Amino acid sequence: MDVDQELVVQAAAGSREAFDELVRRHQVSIVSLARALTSGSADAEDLAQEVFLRVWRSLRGFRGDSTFRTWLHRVAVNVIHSHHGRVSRLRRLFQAAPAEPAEDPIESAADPTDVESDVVMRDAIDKALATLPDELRVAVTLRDVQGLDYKEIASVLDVPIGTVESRIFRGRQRLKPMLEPLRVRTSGGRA
Amino acid sequence: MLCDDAARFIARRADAPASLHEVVDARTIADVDAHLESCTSCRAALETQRDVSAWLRVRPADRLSSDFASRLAARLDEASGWFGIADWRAWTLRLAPVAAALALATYLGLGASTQSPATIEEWTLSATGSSDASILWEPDMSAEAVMETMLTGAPPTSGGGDIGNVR
Repeated sequence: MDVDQELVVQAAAGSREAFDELVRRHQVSIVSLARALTSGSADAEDLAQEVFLRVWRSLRGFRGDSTFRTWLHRVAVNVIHSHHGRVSRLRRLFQAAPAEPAEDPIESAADPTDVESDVVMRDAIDKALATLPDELRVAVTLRDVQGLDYKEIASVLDVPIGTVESRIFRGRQRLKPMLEPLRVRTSGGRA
Repeated sequence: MLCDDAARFIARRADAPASLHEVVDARTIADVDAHLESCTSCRAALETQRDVSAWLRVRPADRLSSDFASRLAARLDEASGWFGIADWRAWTLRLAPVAAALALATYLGLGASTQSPATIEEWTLSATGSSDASILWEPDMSAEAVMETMLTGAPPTSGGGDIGNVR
């Protein structure tokens, strides 16, 4: 039994200490997911907290058909989708200008040759991801930002593996021109 | 194999080539590789897949705000019910049956003694539980004696005539 699994059993029996440990193990990952899927929104931490609250409330219903990480990501994607829906409805309601991502995320974030800080690089990546249709963005983010394998992603999204492969392929192809300036950074001192 | 057929496998071929064996047989993998050898555009696509995957994987990890853990702990406490005691709505709901039971018991308890005394003398007897108080209704009891008795709670110690004398 892996560490997560042991903690899940204890937390499901009511142990807050065990659940706090689960949170510590996954909180950065879930906040990153929320930020990447909401274009670096300031709501990311609130969304991550909502994810952990939902997990805490429904932990006893977790049957263990998948790993805890997969289940956690499924909950997270659902929470973030719901948030997207609410934000979109509000935008339509007040007819505000849609928050279109910049044409060139790298250019809009900073001079690509001057991309030095982690924050700028992260923002540039998040803005590039924001240009993708939702289904492509989620698949690429789960694979390349979160590091889930194809089978896990298929389970999180409840789609066949072939669909996951196709979405990731198309998503990366679209991202190429927007992320090209990062080649300098990743092939330079950092990578 | 055509480009459209190969495309599905190119993403996985780029970032997890070993895992191709989990989804297709060795012959299909050989076909994909043969196609990549002969197709320039698919080779370019494979390169793009590798590059983009590498760029995204170096996305710097997010830093949590310093109060993230404490805010979450507070929300979890609330969800767990520890702070639920401050939730008056929850308490109202929980205490509603108790309040109803108390109201019923009070009503039934008072109902047993709701037969009002017919006269004020009977009322005094029922209120004091002592027949000594009936002396207050003696015709010769003075107002001061009645007042003193009521204030001290002590029944008159001598006869009504004496009690009526003002000290």
